[in-house]
Amino acid sequence: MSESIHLFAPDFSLKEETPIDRLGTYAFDLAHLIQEMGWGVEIHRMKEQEEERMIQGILLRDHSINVAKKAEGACIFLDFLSFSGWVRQGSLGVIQGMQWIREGETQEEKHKRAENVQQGLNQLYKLIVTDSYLLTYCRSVCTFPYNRVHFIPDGLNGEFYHSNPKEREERSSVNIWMPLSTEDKQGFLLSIEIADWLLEHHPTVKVCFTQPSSVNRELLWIYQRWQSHHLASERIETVDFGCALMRRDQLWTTDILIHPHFNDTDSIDICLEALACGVPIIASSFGRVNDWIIDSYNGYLTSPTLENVTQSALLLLDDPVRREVIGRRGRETVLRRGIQKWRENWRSTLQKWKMGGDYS
Amino acid sequence: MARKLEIHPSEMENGGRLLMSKQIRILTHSFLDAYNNRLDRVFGGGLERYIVDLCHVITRMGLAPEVHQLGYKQSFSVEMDGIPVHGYSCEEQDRTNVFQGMATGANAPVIYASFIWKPMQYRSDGLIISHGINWDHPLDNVENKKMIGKAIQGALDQVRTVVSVDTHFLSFTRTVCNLKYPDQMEFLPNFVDTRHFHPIRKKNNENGRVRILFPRRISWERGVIPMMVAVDDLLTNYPFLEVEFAGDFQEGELVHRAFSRWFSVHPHQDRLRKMTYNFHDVAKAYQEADIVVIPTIFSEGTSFSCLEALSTGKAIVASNVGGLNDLILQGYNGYLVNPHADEITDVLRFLVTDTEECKRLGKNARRTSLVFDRKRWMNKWEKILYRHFHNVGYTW
Repeated sequence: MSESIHLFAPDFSLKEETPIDRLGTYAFDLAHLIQEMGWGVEIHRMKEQEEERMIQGILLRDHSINVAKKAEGACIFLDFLSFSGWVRQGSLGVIQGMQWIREGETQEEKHKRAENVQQGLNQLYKLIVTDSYLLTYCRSVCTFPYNRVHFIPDGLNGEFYHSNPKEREERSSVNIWMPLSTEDKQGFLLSIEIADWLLEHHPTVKVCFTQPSSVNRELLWIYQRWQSHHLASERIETVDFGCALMRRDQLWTTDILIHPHFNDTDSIDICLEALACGVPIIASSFGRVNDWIIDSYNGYLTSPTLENVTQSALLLLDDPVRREVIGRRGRETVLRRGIQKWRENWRSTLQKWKMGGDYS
Repeated sequence: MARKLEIHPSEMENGGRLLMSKQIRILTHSFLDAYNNRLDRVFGGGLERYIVDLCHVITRMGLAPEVHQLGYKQSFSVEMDGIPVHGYSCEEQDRTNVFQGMATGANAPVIYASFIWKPMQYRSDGLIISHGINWDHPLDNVENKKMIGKAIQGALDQVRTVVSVDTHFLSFTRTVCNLKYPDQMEFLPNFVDTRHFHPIRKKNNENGRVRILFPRRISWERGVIPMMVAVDDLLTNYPFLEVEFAGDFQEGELVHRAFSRWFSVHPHQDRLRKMTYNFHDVAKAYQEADIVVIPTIFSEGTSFSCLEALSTGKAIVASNVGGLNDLILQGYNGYLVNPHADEITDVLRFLVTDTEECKRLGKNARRTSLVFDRKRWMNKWEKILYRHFHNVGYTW
């Protein structure tokens, strides 16, 4: 394993040989960049069955056991908290967002996690974080040398995600997309409550939900019951947004995106895509979405309650000009976060690591 | 003009307690300059300025603010612009006890304007303000950080509302503590008077120089050391550059002594300025600058200096520490960097030679500043106080 760079990741999903979740996409983007830099690269994924195959020109090895403890050479641990205890001295670790915050976590669980992060910081050459909140988390909870944590913000393909005002013209309805996933139970239930309120008070509102995952059967049942028995069920749509193209098409017909999250989930990425497409956003005032939005300037940040979210929604519902202004500013602000910048940042980090890292 | 609010006893039947007193206590470790026994002036920090404006909000609601502060060497009762201020003498070891004792005898909700990082007993109808995370120095001891996390959990268990000036403290409470209510935390960023801090059409300096401003206290946490390192490099390489340090200092402090030595023997002293301004005049310092640097190392909320720089339409280079991330959108209205001298130098090298980029950033800076206007802040505070009083069972 010593000649290539080894990317370790917990389980991620592929559909037709393409990664469809945040972690998988990140792993393959990074692997391609490493290849471009002239180094070998392999992705190791934790799976139920052992398997090896080439995907998009990258060797993907599935392992049924945690092979990280046997890792040699240059290793990068994506979502490194999953490999707690196995992280190798001198390797790179990546934490994407605070997806590890779970509802009802006890203080002990939170302390344990802080200890895991600290343990990683003691061993890693560098910990890469993708939002400023993780930077603050490390600084305010752990202790480490100044340069140990490095912030590489996520990039966005601003050419692909662009605004398309024509799709929003000549429509009498106001389309609201509530893409929060069922991973965030509280946020998902609140989304239903908000949709209920909007449908009742605004006859022109149409709401669209992302197909709830069948993993969480209770929430799926609640959602299906709510939708099928709703007095305005014809104004509720459920769509599966598996790929980027579908998400972009949906964003082009969306007037407002509401994301009242309690946790940092994959669906927060849609907020970044929405900003790039010029769709005004209402989101909770914590987590990585706050790196992209200044409240009332290019979006709305609020605490996740029915009252607060609907208050912000009313500002946008009744005022198409405001929607246009906020949406335009949203696009302006994220255009500076191009994917190219992300690549430059990683390139420089990898070069310094390969030159100076003691990982062998 | 102040708006009078009447108390309606009829609402008592809804189970609320009648707000018997109109006196709202604000508890703080610092307000009048008790450190230097100068009780005729408000100490020149962000916390103190915040309290002055919060008093205006409370007065506007028809209530009577009074400030209770640590007096350090002496106890005192004075009035400052019509606001009663009470100081409580204390020794270093009993500051926390004295602080929590300042709430004794209050018969209306109390506002705890500082000290959230200290374990203490709060009144259940209390409201706490967090001015940002001040325990985020990477090298600080983990055990201290754990103790602070516990103290904050204790505070969250006891009070209904915490107002945070930045979203980073919000995230901290979610990742380290457990909240009692989904709306327990209120995010209300700091403010700026956008009419006073306005852009001007800057005349080119007679000598065609580009000016960089460091508008912070000469102190360790505000990043004066990486700033000095960056300035050394920049003054050597760019003869058209001048740098102004415009911040207060504590005479005799180690970092200030180091700064003074550096300044007094600097080979490019003709292009270095060191000034102190009062609050009113400091707008000029921003207006005459081209680039403003806020290189905080730790302990930062939604910095007043950064807001003032935004409002005067300047290109800003800030560190990615605490609440500065809430004010700067990377590459849109400024640049965020790690608080290291080499990163600060790199981005300044780029900006000092690109006036168009500075103009673009400055224009967006002014536009974004308008959502932080002081009037909006006052209105939001009023709503928060109404909601809090309602939530803790007081009626008007």
